[in-house]
Amino acid sequence: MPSGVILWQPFSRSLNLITGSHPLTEGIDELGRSAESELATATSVAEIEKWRTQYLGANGKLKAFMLRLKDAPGDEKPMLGRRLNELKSQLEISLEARKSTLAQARSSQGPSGPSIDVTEPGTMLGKGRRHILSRTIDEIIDVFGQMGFAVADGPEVEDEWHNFTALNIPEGHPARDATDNFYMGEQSGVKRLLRTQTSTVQIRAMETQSLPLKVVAVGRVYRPDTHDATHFSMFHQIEGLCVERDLSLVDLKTALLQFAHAYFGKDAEVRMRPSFFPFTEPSAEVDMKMCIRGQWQWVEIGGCGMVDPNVFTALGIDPEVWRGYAFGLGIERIAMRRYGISDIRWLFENDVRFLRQF
Amino acid sequence: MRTSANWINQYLSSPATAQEQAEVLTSVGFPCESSESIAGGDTAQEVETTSNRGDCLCHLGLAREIAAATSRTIRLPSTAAIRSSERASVAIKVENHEPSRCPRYTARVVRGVKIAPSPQWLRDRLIAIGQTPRNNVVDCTNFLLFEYGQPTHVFDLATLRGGTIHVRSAVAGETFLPLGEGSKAITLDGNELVIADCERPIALAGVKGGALTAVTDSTRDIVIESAAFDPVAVRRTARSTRISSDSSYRFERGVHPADVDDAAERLLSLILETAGGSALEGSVVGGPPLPTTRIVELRLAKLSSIAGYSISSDEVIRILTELGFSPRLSGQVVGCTIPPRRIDVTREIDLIEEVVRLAGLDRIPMNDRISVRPIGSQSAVMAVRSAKNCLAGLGFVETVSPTLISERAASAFVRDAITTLRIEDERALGEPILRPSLLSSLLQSLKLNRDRGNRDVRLFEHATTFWLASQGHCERRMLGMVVGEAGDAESLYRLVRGSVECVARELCGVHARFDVRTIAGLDIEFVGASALSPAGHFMIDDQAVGVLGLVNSDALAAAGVDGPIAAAELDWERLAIGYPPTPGATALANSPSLDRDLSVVFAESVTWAQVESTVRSAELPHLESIVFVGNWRGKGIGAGRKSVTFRMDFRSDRTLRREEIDPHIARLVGVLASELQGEIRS
Repeated sequence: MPSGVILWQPFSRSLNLITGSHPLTEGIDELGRSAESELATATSVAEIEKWRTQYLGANGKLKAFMLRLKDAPGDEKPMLGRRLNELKSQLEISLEARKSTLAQARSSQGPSGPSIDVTEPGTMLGKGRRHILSRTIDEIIDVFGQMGFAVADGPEVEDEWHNFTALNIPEGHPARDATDNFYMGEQSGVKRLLRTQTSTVQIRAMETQSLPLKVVAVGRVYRPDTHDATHFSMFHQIEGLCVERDLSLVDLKTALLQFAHAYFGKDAEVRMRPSFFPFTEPSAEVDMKMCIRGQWQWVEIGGCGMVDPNVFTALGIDPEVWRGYAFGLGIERIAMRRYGISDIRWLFENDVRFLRQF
Repeated sequence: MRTSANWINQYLSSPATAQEQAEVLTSVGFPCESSESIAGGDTAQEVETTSNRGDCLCHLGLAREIAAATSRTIRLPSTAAIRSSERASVAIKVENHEPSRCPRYTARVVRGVKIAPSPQWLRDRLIAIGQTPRNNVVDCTNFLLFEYGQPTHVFDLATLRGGTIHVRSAVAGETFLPLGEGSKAITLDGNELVIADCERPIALAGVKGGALTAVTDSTRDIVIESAAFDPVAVRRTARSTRISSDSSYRFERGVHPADVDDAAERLLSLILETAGGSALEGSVVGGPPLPTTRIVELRLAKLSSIAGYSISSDEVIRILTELGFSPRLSGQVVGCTIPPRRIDVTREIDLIEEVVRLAGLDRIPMNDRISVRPIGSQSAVMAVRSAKNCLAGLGFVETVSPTLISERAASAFVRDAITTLRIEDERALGEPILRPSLLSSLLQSLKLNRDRGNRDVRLFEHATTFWLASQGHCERRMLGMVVGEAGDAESLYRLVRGSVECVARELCGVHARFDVRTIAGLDIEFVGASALSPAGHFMIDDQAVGVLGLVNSDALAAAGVDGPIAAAELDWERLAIGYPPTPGATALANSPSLDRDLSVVFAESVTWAQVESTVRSAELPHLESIVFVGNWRGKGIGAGRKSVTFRMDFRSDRTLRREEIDPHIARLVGVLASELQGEIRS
């Protein structure tokens, strides 16, 4: 039984001894009983506070009785006033007792909090997402950054010198055909086009930066193509260039392997197959063995080679003194294989349901 | 190129299985793309060749690679042909007027051939690689093309007019009827290189023979053309006439003039064997003398420094010998005589590649570490990343959209002062414009999402925009964003502005001052402004960094979306110029702040910027901050008026009392009334 009720008994008896049966007196008795019984049912801090406001507050029921005192017969006023004060004191004692009872009960059950349904869904604030291509680019340049490659940049609209001539692709070479390039009209005697490879940034870096040099360039490149699941006229490449006095194919293959280990995991492997690019010699295709949803598979991811001496010569760099290696990897190819993206067009139509999958 | 395994084995000292051929060719740079069993126990395999190795667009060329990689030897076919006493030069003459575009032209004559179906072995070879047998003479030329890689052509001697073959430029306006069923006469523009008799073109040099001089069932005497043409000249002719053939494909990859005669002799022997007749003595040649044989030296030290591992001189000599380079070792230098067919080998580095390629790239060892010079933090990279991560955190999804857009999408951004950059190509597929603003793409992406029922979309993109200025083309990297979710125009605008400020704060630090100034009239600095109305310049420390506002009716119509949509486009270089910010700590008062809210009714024309600057100019003591809370229009305010609520925080190094602030608030109310006709809202 709550302690407040035990305390109430002697108080009630004393009231009965003193009082007659004035209506106000009975009202006070009734108020006392209902207050005590309601307090006994209050089980939370909020309920107790509500009870306190209701009975003991500035506009509470006890205060209302106080205000009614002025209507009582003059000789009863002191007695009734005293009884109300006693009731107030007693209720305050009961309140503290009830609080401590509940506190004891709480401490024996552990801490408590408001009652809510924790299975209700959360408020979704962060529905934003980085594009999977830009996240892939970030991850890759971070790995190359650890390997000492600084990020270099260049324009997307290029002149023929940077896109072809300096890259050892002479006039009349099939790679210059209008069918394989997005050409723009001539401006001030210079024919321009959307760059077909990020190798253009190699040239710009060697033009503007001092040797030795170790850079990666990443960005959009463009080649006319009919759009389908595996072709798009725009895609992203990351290009690496390292120029030192003494570099070999061993350094190139080691760099690719170190990248593969850092990016695809310790079990990744690298394979080179002979190939041809005008701006590198020897040239090779690069395959990496990566884990795609639990399966290790060889994936063609780009090309590489030693910088062709003609490229150095075009830039006034002595190929007998300086040596370089370069590589270019396809970002879409890596992301598509890695995440099971079976249609390249999904990457560029920007349906947020697709973009939020990553 | 489609190959026949049996055909390749014809030239190898010991046969290789189709699988071995595929593996070996792949390992030396000719990947095998597919393999298919065909009739006669043969296997057809699709082999890819790189553009520098025209010499491997034939079975003999690929057999040489297999032989070199597997220490087999090559068995060359017979070219012996019995000649009659009549001289070819009596039957036909050759005049080469274009020695630079045609470094060698040869004609051989056979009299008395009998045109008939080819023997079975020849038909089988051609069928194996997907060619259709026609008649013995034509089949021999096709066989030779895929055996030696030399394109040749046969004319019916009786149809040639004037007795002389001319190698010359086309005359603009002359017509030519190419070989082939249902072919139509084409009019030449004068840039093509043609083979002509004394009256008319009889072939597009290196591309296609003519129908009027072709071999027919009644042909008796033939002229065999074997020539070398300049790759660029052949490509131009093929492109301008829109005709391409196996011959033009091969010539575009280079045929050496010194290889022309051997191939012609082989063809002669094949024709005599399959079609009979007698070959006239000699050949008729037009063109400059053959270039001298090339000698290229390879330093062994250079080889090992580029390879990075050691390859013995014995192995180097073996590889170069098997590739036909006739190496001679003298000290530490290997002198090589380059066979004419290897037009790709002219320098030491080319020989180094050959040795490394045949030695096998799998042999290149790898180290377990690399040496690194630390590069430190890359602020240009980190700035982009911070901005993108910040926007993603604010609920924006990053888009990557095509650079090329349609005229219609660009229309809302094209104004007198802006000339767009465009692709001169019909293959741009109706999207020829390099976008002058990211907003066109963002609106299109927004539309796609709405069409698919994706609600509440906030998008951003960080990419390059392009336009043409008087000094040439310009590129500018921009950060664009759009918000097209439920809400009224004002709340969407304020969401965009808040997001812009959030990103700018991230990049510029706590001390930068931000501000938006209304754009009056045409803005030529930011293309995106033409799609916005109303629009403002976003200012950082009094410099305009970009534009923001609500997408206007023209741009909404061009994109086919409904408003309201709020958007911003910022110049990336200007936005990120302060990155990374250099923060510094200031000692702060620990006393509590005191806040006061005011709601003041102004005319609609009074801007928040005016209200804020008026409050600041009143120099209220201890004023720490002033924050916009909201606007209220309508009931109780009156038409053409709005109530603006703002909160001011006051703080001192001691606890302030309300009574201290009240007189200043009263003074402020007076200032707002006199300067902006503001009335305290009751």
